[in-house]
Amino acid sequence: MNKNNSETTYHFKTDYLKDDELPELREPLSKALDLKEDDFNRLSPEVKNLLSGRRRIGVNWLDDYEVVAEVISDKGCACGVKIGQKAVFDMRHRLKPEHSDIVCCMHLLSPVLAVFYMSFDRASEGLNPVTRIWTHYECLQTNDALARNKARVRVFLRDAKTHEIITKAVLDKNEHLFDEKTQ
Amino acid sequence: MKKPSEENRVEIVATVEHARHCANFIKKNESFVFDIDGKLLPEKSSANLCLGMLARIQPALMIAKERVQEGLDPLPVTVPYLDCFDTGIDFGGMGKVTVKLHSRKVR
Repeated sequence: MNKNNSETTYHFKTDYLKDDELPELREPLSKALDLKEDDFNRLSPEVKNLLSGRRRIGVNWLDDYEVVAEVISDKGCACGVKIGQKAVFDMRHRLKPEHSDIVCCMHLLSPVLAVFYMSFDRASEGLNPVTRIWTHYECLQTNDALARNKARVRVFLRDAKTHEIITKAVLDKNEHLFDEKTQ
Repeated sequence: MKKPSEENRVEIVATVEHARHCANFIKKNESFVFDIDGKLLPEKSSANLCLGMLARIQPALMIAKERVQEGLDPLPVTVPYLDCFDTGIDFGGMGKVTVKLHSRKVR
């Protein structure tokens, strides 16, 4: 990456953490991901924003929540995907096979990756990490029914321990942020 | 299209050739295994099942099925490497994992 462009703004300023060295993350993250000091120092503004999500929705948010993709349509699917089957992911978009009962068809599950691109962005804003707009995904195979018959999933967030479905736009622990923004 | 006979059924294996700063702790020589229909086989896979890597492999699974149905080897001889969707630490991301694809008879 061209470091000279690190402060380039496109539609908004991304480097508002420029003078923040993320001290509480430096040691554990460097240890976990084999980052040397130089590696950590050259993290891009975008990744620093990503990491700052911990401050907004909790240090353990990557483990506290799960994303579930539940099959809501299976017509025309020959892979064995059935309505009601679930794929469960942790917030690092790792499939948890021990909690999933879905036939792991990659043609259906691959599009769900988009949820996680949005989730890190939303977490850094203190929002519910799962979008409330792009919640439905479908198989990438068109077949000869002109895309009418497809397996489809609906995606939602749940508490990893209680499995309570979480639909609030702002998580309970961050309601004060929401209040500040609306005042 | 021809359907592969049971004895000719193959699996697609993506073996990790290189991993750096991976947030899902994927390591070299771990693998992801798929059937020829494009289904991930978690019980045969040894790597953490990161969707950022798996989704990158999905187009190759479509190609493999097509080729088998035409009676060809599952994978083309062109470059067999695929890397994950994370752009890596030098390009606005964090980690980077690269896999090499190969096929094998169903075990």
